[in-house]
Amino acid sequence: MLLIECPHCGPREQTEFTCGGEGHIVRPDPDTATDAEWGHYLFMRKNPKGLHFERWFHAHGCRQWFHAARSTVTHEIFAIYGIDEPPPAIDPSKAGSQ
Amino acid sequence: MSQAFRNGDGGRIDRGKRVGFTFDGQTYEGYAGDTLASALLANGVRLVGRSFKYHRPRGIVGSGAEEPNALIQLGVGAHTEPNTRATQIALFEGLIAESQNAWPGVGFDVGAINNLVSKVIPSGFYYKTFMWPAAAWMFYEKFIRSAAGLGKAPTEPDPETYEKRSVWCDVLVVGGGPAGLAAARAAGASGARVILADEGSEFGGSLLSSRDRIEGREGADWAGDVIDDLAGMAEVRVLARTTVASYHDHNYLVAVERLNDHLPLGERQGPRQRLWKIRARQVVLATGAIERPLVFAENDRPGVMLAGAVRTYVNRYGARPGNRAVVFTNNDSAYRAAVDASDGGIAVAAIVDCRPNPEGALIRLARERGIEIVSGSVISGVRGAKQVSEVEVAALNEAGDDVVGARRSFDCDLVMMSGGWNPTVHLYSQSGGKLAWNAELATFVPATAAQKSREAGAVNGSFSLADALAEGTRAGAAAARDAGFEVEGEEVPACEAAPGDGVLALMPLWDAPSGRKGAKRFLDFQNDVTASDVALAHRENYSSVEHFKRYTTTGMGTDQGKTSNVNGLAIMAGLRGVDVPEVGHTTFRPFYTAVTVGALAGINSGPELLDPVRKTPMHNWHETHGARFEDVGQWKRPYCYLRPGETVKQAVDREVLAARTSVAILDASTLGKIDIQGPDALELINRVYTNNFATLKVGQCRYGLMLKDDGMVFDDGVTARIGENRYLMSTTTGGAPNVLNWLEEWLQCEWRDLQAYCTSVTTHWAAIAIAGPNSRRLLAELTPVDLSNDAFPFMSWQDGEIAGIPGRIFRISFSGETGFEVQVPASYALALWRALMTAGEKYSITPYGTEAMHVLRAEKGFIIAGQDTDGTTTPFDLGMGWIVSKKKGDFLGKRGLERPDTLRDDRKQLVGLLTEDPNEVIPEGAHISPSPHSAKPVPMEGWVTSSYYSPNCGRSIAMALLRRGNERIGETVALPLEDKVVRAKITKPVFFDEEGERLRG
Amino acid sequence: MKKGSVCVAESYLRQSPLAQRALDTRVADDTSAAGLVLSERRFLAQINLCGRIDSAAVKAAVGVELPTKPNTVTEGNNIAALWLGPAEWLLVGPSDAEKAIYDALVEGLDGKSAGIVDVTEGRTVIRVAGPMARDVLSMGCPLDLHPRVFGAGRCAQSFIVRSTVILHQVDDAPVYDIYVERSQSDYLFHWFETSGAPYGVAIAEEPATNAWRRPPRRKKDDEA
Repeated sequence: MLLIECPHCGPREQTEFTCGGEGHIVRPDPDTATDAEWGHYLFMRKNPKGLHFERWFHAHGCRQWFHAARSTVTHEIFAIYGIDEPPPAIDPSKAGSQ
Repeated sequence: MSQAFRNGDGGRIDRGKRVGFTFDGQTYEGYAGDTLASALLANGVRLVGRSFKYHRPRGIVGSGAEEPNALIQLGVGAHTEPNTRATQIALFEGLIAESQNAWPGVGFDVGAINNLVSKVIPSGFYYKTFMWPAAAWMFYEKFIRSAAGLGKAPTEPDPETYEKRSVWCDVLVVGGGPAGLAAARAAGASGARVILADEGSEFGGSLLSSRDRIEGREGADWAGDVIDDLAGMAEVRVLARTTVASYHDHNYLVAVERLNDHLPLGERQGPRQRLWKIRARQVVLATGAIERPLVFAENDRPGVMLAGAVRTYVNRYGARPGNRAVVFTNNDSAYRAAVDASDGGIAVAAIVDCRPNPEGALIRLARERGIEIVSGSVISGVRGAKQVSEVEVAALNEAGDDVVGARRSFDCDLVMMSGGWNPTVHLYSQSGGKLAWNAELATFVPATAAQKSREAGAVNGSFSLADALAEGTRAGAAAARDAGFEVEGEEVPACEAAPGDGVLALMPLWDAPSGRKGAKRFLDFQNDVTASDVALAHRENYSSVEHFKRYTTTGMGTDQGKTSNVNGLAIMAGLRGVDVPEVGHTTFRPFYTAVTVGALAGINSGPELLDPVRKTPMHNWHETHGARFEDVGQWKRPYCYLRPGETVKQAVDREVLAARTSVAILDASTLGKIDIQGPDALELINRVYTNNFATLKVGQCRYGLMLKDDGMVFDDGVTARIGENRYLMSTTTGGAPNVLNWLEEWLQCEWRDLQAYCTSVTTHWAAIAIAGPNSRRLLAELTPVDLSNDAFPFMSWQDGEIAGIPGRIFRISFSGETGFEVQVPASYALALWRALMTAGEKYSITPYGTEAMHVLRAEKGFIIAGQDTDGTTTPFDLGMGWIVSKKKGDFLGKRGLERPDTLRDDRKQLVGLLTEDPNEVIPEGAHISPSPHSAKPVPMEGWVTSSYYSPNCGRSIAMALLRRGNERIGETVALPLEDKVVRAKITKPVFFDEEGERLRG
Repeated sequence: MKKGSVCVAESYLRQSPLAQRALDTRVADDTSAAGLVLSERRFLAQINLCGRIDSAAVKAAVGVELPTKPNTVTEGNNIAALWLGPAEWLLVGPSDAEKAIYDALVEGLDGKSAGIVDVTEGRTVIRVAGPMARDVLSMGCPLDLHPRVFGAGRCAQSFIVRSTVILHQVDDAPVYDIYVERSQSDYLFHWFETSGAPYGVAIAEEPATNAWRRPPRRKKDDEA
């Protein structure tokens, strides 16, 4: 079970959070997006081995969304950052990426 | 026979406290401080069980968690627990233990026939034999299951209670041996929050079995003093009888504290066990090492034991596992055991050492005691059926792969074996730490830790006391420092150990030759795996570590291969002609030793505590008025109210008819309610609903459908405009938290510019739906609000007092009847409910439950999101295209509805079904096929989503999602059920008052 | 009645979610032997505030400043203000004060940038005290409640077993106020009684509250 550093509440047990999956997904302009682009936005998600940028929600806490950079191999969390912030630079090899 | 194998003095038992116990029906006596194993040995009991597969007689092998043989059914009746290890059961007065896996008893066991026919049941026997024909497995399984298995689970409910606690600490030290004690003391002195846990009843670990001295005291006394020191530190928690059973991500570890298991039943108080869920900043693993057996011919005879275990029984318990021993070793550590055994009154006939020229301090100590050392030799056979009586010793040839020369025999009742030591890396490995092969020690040792943990002492392969103390002190101090505490000084306790302490000088001997074909050389005692089984696995190409393990079942017993795994890997490596690390090792999985289900469950069992139960303010009224409840999420909702003598169907029919003919009330408090405020509240609502809310005026309400961005229906409900910038959104009962989270997600992640604030008021407002032709008349008696159609039209709401309670009245209806929904602050809801029941008596007011509500809405063809939809259903599939705005700008799901897949004309669409037999109620979930005579595989074109008997229609009604349903109205379809095929006509999904006159009436 | 506001009916009609447990009939004369001491704080006024709130305006309106430090509580004028999120607070006042506090807030804040919601009825408060209070909480709550981390004046949202709660430590003794959804309060109270049973559970009298009074209105709040 992960220990997640909520940007507001500090370290809390994973059970207080829900994971929102891949972060930084851009919702295309619905007026101009092709069917393929819209389908990609809706359904296609990365499933990397190693470094992964995710969204998390402190559901049983302050109810705030934030981003986490996590290794899907070791579960190490390299960074926690705001929901409106771009992903930080992290050496993927540190996270067991291949 | 009264403790004939107990020494007159020595050991850490209390000879002043006699403890009576029963093993296999026979009563014995031991002393306080004994384990069941030490007490049995002191009483001369050697045979304690039968093996799993061949039912061979087995005796105690080890002295701790590693014990593969002495599995005990402990206690009787509801208190019984199977597969406990005699070596870890603290003895208490009145303890009742039974051996396992033998019928009628360990002395004469019918299953032992398997031993005689063992040639025809090698590894893989079950896989190969019982798989053909495939269908017969069901038949075989019954017999195999009854013959297999170890202990018996209790059949009565567990009378014990269990407790769980979460605890956070700066430093967790696992293991209370010399390294762990040193670590805990160093860390504790810094003021850090330290937890020290050890599975034993007494701290000291190996010190309790040795005669080493630390800081001028007996090692065990030093351990006691350290525990006293730690007890004086406010932030240190010392947990005895506590097994740290698993190591998870981010330094999360689970431990089980046995609070009562060492006490007689009558003295037990409070919870039996406590499960600790530990979150540690830093971890120090001082988990020690487990001695490795040697694999040699007939090494499973009762009386063949680990050398270190014998040392423990002699030194710690003053118990002699035998009177005359032969030692068999490939390393120096067994000499220490031999010396202590000899000093403890066991005649050591010989030390058989496979090494050609063993030399060193420990060897000299043995020689000084006159013990004969037979070097370059192996034990090539063990005689004695239920106890060792003699061993046969032979010299190794030069290559070390066979025996040569004349055999010598030694009379003995005990064999002490040592094949080296395996660091107890289970937790380390569970944490993700990588292991490396240490050729000198011939075992796996920790290499790269994956988490914030350190290892100290024997778990590191550092087997000397001095190293354990030094590593422990260093690890404890460093852990405290890394947790943010200042550590002053790191004094390593000075010690005096026997000369040669920690030296192994090991020569690997993985599979001792015997010169006799067919002599069984056991590798895994519990699962009866022999060296030949490994060879068979290799011949059949199950030579990768994971295949070999499963094929032979090595390490798959309750002991999880604590004594067998490394030997198995090494034998396989030898057969493959590779080094051991090339074979690799299997994954160490939780738990280190078995954890009772009770400890994992804690008090969270039974109908009241298994899961939170949510109750409405009227719950107790429902209970006392015949409500039969159903679970809706965590809510308890009345399904119907049973009157005396009524069936469920009669009750539901009565409730449904009451709503259509007079007046009925429903507790609708569980519906989700979200208060939405802010200058952009309208914009938010317009973006999440498919229809337009811009035209909604204060005082009005509107039904809305919510889609996920893929266009699929997610939730629905009525939203009322409460003020200029304020709305009250209602959701389904089950969808309430999801919808609130959904709104938050879009507001925080995507629409960050919107100023709209969402607050759950689900439980603030209780709600009562009032339905039926008399609803207006009833409500009018209780409120000054003008309820006439003109003053209070359909889909509007007003503030008002009802029965003296301020609340809100909504002119909405889910029943299709003239109806109102009244919302009041929750703590007044029961008073309002009672007032309605009293005032409604003259109308025969009828409380109705969820089933009647379902029937009423289905008669009208109103959907329930999540029942008539399933995440693949669009509004168009439901025939609700009217609610999807074509004028308004973007909203969630709009673009998704334009995707080619959602526009397909062969999608499943919501239709009604009327069975040919009007009394036939189709089970919900039934599949639909075009014809009862369709060829196999029968095409499945859809399924029934809602199905009821409608008393108002006088027949059954059903709704279904059916492929191309819209264009098939009037057709007949078939519904194949378990025992028959039901035919039904496709209709529109509305069955009653299609024009909605009653609704607006 | 004004739309969107709150009001109060005859109090005899009012029933707390733990009413059928009849806690008042079970109040112990002496709770000193109990490891866990429980009581219900009924009908505390609870107003949820969210948005870009001007703390000074709140102070002027109701007499308490909003905490800015996460998971802390400020107190003033018999109101406790609990931090719930970076832009969300719970104001807790004495029973029957919700309407007055709500009205004062609506008046004091401009209403456009704030969500002000009366949630009084949505939760009840279980007061948890006694020498085993922290230990019993740890049986269901994953928070680190050690005094070094969590003391009087701290609050946190988390869960106990599987019920979402707000914890407010009101005293270092320790004493905690546990805010729980009213629908789950009966379950949670039962859980506390069961969990605390091995250590002795006593029911205490409902703690008294002091009345809230609206601060005098000034033309300009010149306090710092």
